[in-house]
Amino acid sequence: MRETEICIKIPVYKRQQYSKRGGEPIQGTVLFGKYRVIRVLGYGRDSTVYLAWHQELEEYRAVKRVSRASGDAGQFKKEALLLKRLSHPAIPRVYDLEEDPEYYYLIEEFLEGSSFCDLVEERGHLSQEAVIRCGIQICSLVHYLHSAEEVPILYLDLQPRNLLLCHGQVKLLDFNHAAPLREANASPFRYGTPGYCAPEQMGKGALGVFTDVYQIGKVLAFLLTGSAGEDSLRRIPGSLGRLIRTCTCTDSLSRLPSADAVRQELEDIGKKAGLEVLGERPLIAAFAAWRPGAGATHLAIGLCACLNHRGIPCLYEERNESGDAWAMAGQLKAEADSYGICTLAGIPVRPRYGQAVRLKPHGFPAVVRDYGTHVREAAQDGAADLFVLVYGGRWWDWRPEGLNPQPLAMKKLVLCREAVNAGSGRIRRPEGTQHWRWYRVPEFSDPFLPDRKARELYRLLWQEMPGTGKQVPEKERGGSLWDFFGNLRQQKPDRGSSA
Amino acid sequence: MGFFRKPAAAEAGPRIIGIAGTGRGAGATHLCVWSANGLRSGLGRKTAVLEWNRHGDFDRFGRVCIGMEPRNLRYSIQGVDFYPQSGEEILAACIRGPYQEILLDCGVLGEEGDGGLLYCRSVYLLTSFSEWQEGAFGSRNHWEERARQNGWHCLAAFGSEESRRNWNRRRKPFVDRIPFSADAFSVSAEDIRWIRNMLDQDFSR
Repeated sequence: MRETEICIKIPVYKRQQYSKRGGEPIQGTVLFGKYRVIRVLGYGRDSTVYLAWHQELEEYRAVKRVSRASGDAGQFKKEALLLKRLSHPAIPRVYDLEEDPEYYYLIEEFLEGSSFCDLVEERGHLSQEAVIRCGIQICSLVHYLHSAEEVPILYLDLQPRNLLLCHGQVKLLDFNHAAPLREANASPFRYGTPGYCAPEQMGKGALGVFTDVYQIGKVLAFLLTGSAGEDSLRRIPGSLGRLIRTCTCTDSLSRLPSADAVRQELEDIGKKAGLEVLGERPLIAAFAAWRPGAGATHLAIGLCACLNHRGIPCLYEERNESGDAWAMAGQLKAEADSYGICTLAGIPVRPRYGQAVRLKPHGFPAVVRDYGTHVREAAQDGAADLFVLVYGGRWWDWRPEGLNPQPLAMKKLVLCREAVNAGSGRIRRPEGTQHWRWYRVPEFSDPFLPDRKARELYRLLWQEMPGTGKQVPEKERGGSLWDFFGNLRQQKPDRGSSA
Repeated sequence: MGFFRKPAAAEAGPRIIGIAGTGRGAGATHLCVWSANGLRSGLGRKTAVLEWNRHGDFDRFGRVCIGMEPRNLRYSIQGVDFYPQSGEEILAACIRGPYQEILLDCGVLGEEGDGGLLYCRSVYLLTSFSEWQEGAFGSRNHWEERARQNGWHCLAAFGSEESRRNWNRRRKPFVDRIPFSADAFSVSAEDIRWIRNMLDQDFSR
C-alpha cells in the first residue's frame, strides 16, 4: 500500500497585477489568436488565472494556466474532465484545453462576483440572516456535486476564496482538488487549506461527503465571525452555533450525514428566525420626493443597505438625472459589471442608463428605484409594488395633483422626515390620502449604515411589500403624524409665525 | 446629499474629440455615433456630434431614423444631438452650450474636414486591416507620420487580428482594436467600459 502524502495548500497571496516577471502574459497579450488577456484574477499553488476577452465571440473567459514543469498536468486534465460532466449555473463551464511548450491552459466560463474572503475583509462578517441565506445556497451546491453522479463527487477544498457572491448568488470555483469518492480516497496526495481542511484530510482516515460537511461548517463560521478558528466556533450562540459545531465535529460520524441535511437544518433555523422566502418575481419599491434634498436618495439607499445587510439581495436603481450614482462610483473607483451594476460600499447600484444601452437582465429579488423628484413617473410605475413618497419638512410641498392617476394595485406610503412634526406635535393626513400609510423617519446620517431606529423603520417598510410578512398594525406606524395636516390648516393664516 | 460631488470635468468645459479615418469605410462615422451613444446613454454625459465633412451621412440617417427635414441644423436621437454639415460657428455655439463632450466627425484624413482636428484635444484615427485595403499599408503612408507627430490614438475596427499584430510588430504608430459593434445606436456594459477607459487614458495624459 502506498503512503499518503499530505500537502497543505499555500494560502493565496496577492501580487501586483499585470506583473511582467517570468514572461507572464500581461494586459493586451492575445493567447491562441483569440483570448486577449485583461488582468490576473488570482494565483493558486501552481497556477495563475487570467481574465481574458474572447475576441471573436466577445465574451469574457477565465484562463487558468499551469506550468508543465509543475508536474500537476494530470490533475489539471482531471479537473477539466470533471467540470465537463457538471452543468450548474453556479459552477463554471469548461470550454477548451490548450497547451504551448511551457504551459497548459484551461479555458473556463468567467463567473463574476466577489469572493467571501474579500467581502468579509472589506465589510466585516455577515449578519446571521445573510449567513443562513448564503449557507443554504452553499449546501445546495455541494449537494449537487454529491448527487450529480452515482458516486459522489467530493469538492474537498471548500473555503471562502473559492466561493463567490454575485448579486446574492453563490458560485463555486477552483475544482483542482475535486474528485469522485473512490479516486479521492485512492490518491496518494491530499491537499487542504489550513483552517478549513477536515481532520481526516490531515491523516489517513477515509474521505467522504462528511469531509465537505465539515468544510461547510467552517465556512459558515467564517462568514458569521470573520474567523474559522476553534475559538470563534465555540463563541457562536444559538441554534446556528450548535449546527456549526455539529458540522465541525472531529469525529466524522458525529457530523450531519449530508450537505442536504445541513441545508434543511438551516432552513428550519431561518423559519424560526422569521426569514422570508422570496418569490420568483422581484419586489419593487419606487421612491420619489417633491423637491431635491427631501431625502429620496438617502432613504432609498438606506433601504437597500438594510436589506443587503439582512442577506436579501437588493438593487438600487437610479431613475433620475442627478448623476449621483456615477459620481459615487467615480469617487469609490468602482466599475460596472456586465449587468451595468457597480457595487458601492457593499450595495449593488445601477446608475441611470440611456436608451442606447443594452444590459443583461439581473435576478435581484428586491429592487429600489429612486425617481428623485419625478413623483408622477414613480406614481405611474406599473411594475412597482410600493410607492414611497418622501415628504420633507415643508407642509406647502404637498402637491396631490402630481399623484394621479396611479396604478390601483400599488401600495402607497409616505415617509415623513422628523423635521415635519418637530414644532407642531399633532399631525393629520391631508384629504384624499386616507388609504396611504404614513411613517415617521428618524434622522440617520449615513445611508450605507442605517442605525438601529432606521433599521426598525425599514423592517416595517419591508413588511408592507406583498408576501413579505404580516401587515404592520396602525400603532407601529408613527402615531401622532396623522393629525399633522389638520394642525397646519389651522395654522395657515399664521403660517409665517408658525414656521 | 452633501458628499456627492460631480466629476471635475463637468466644470472644466466640454472635451472636444476628433475622429477621422485613413480612408473611406474605415469606420470613423460609426465610431463617432457609437461612442456618442456610449457617452450619453452609458455615462450620462451631454454629448454633441458635429459632422465636419461633406459626406452627408448625418443628413441621411437623420432622415431614416427620425424623418428629419433636409437642411435641418440639429436633431436628437437617444439623447445625443447631431449637427449635420457643421462648421466653426456651430462648434463655438456648442462649446458655449450645455455639452460635456463634443465629437467631430472629420471624415477622411487629407480631405477638407481634417482642419477640424486642430480644435480637438484628443484625436482618434481609424484605419482598417481588411484584405482589400492592405495594399495601402505596403508603403509608408502619409497618416503614419502625422499620427506619430501629433500623438493621435490609432484604432482599427475591421480586418484580421493577424494583420494588426504584424503591423504593430513592424510599424508605428501602434494600432489598438475597437470592440466591433454592428449597431452604432446600441452599447453594452463592455462597450461603456471600453469607451470610458479609452477617453480617461487619453485625457489623463
